[in-house]
Amino acid sequence: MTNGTDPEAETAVRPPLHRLTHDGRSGELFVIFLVNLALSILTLGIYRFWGRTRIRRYVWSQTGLLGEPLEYTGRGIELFLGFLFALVLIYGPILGLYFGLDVELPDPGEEFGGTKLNRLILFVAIMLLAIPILMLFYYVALFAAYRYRIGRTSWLGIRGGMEGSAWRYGFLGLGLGFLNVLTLGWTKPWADSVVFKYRLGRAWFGNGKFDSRLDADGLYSRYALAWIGTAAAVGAMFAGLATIGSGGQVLDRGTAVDPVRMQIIVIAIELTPLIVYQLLICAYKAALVRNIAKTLSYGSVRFRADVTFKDVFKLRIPNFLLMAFTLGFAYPYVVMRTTRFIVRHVEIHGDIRTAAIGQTEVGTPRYGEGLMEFFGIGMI
Amino acid sequence: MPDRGASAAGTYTDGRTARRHSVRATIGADGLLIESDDGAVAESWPFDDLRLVDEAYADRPFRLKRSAGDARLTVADSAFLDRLRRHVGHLRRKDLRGANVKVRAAGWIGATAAVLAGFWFLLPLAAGPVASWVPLHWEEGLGRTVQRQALALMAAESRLCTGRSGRLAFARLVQRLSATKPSRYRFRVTVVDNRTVNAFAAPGGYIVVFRGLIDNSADADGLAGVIAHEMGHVIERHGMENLVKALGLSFVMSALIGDTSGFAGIATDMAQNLATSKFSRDAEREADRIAVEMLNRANISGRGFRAFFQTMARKAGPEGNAIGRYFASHPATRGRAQFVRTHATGTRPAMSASEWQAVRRMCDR
Repeated sequence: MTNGTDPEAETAVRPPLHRLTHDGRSGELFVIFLVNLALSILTLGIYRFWGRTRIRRYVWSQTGLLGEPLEYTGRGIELFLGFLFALVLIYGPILGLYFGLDVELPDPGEEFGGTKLNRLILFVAIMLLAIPILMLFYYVALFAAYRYRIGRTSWLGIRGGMEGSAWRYGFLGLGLGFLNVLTLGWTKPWADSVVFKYRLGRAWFGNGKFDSRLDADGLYSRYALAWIGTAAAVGAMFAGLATIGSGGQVLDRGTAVDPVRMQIIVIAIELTPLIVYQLLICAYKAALVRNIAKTLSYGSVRFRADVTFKDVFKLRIPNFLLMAFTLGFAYPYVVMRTTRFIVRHVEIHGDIRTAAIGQTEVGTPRYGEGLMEFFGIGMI
Repeated sequence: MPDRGASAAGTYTDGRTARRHSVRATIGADGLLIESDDGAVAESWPFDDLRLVDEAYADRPFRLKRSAGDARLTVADSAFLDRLRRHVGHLRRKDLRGANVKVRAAGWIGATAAVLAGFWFLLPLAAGPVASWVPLHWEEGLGRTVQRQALALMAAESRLCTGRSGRLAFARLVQRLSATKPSRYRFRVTVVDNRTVNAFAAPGGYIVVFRGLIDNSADADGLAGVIAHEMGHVIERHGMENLVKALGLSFVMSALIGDTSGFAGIATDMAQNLATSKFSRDAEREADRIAVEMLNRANISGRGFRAFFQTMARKAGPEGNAIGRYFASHPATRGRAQFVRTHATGTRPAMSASEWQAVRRMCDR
């Protein structure tokens, strides 16, 4: 004696465009944020892994598709263990180097000053070695974080998953990163498309795999705009600073200039390239999101996310300002804005034949995305 | 139970495929019965085994699962959860439908403030005991690092003074002083060729004296007083306590601000500087007390130490000159001279005249 129609029959009749829904409320998330804050302070920061898990559970559970919410199945202890693992991975070598150096360098009792050059050479050598290692870790962390999140996301009782090797992804990112440096950034749009394609094309939902045909099509014009604009801003910055420098000498003899006001002018000039870059890169990021969605598929299901420069601008700039001016207390609101942005723009085209989707067999990682902790990326 | 037989419509997935089944959930004798019309689903979930998947919030469907497995049941009817809760008490833990957001927010803001206030009072109290647990080996390693960094920062261009007879004279003085107060520390004094009037003690017994301090001492007794004072800081682990405080503070700050904002780093650094830049007045007084005690037991005259404080008080005018540095980190100098005068009982000099000359010349090339 069921009332209502069969949900499976319903989707078959519905036109094949689906949108995500979100029922979350900022106030509820703010309470979770406050609980996390109090307990994190009380535990000297250790609770934050459990806190982050609670935030994710809330955001996931309030986001739905076909009237059924997503579910985050990760646990705080997994994030914590992942963090401890990363702690050893990152600080192990650093501590090793530190104590190694301690033995090699003479005690300051004797030759302080005399060893300065040796120490400088050693420092440069370590930095040259450390930068690629950190970059490698960064990309490994990125992959591991996505794998963990996808593996801990389920919908309709079916889990996501991710295949592929984090280390291979790490070396891919490292190589492309070096290429970007060598070409002064001109390979970045292509490199971005390669890394995103690698990651997205290895994601699973249930027994079905996602596929990505992402390329750099249409990305270069937006990127060139940002590159040239930023380069021009850097040029203008140096010109501006030079003008002030020579002007200052003139002013020294006669008119006094308020030093505080001077400081503000100098800071404003120095910040200009950063502001110009953040502004112009929004167009590139919008194009990248559009391309990623357009080239992504899951069986016969296709995706779209028609975000414009204006959409991305209206998301990123207020998010940054909100975080900066509230010292992080707007965090729940920023998470909400971002979630709603995604929900508003993602379109899912085609029949989602749920009956044909079986449980995933891709293994899920046992521990969380600990390395991520050291790079401060990813909002939630 | 009055609610037995109550039922609600829901959606069920079995965890093997994503297929959604329209089902009717009914409260049975000792479990929740889940059945679909077509007979594809016929489950009974024992009440003990029943869990809410996520917190249930007002005006939104709630989801149920068993303690293990991927099967899920979504029900929109809020009243059904009320009925179910009478059979399954533990569901109330995740039931936030009745929670008042404003009241809860206010409560947790209060809790956060209370925790912060607790830290504010407890951190200084806990720093001492925590610092005393640190093994000597660690403390010495840490002290070596602090000494090295401080030298690189404060006297980057200065060389060390290595005059042999001067160093021997220092060693004898330190030996004489440390014999009066047995401690686990081995004291090492380093003299830097720098005209700043300063001396500091890193944890673990690493003491650094700037040449300016020697130049500004009328005799060896004043220098002995300052060395004894720095030894007092080491013995009482004031440096370790400051490090523990700074560490605790940085934990609290990072938990407070999170690691998302670039502003966090600045704020944390500021706090750390505030916490570590100098010892508290109490710590200074304690080091003075120990210094006088050591001087007395070694029968070294306190007159030089007293004169040193008086000179400092006189020279440290409103302008912050080189001499002012030591004064800035060692305040209330006149009161401290008074303390030395009333408590010092020693009568003999700290060094022979030739030793003192050697110390004064130890920076000569």
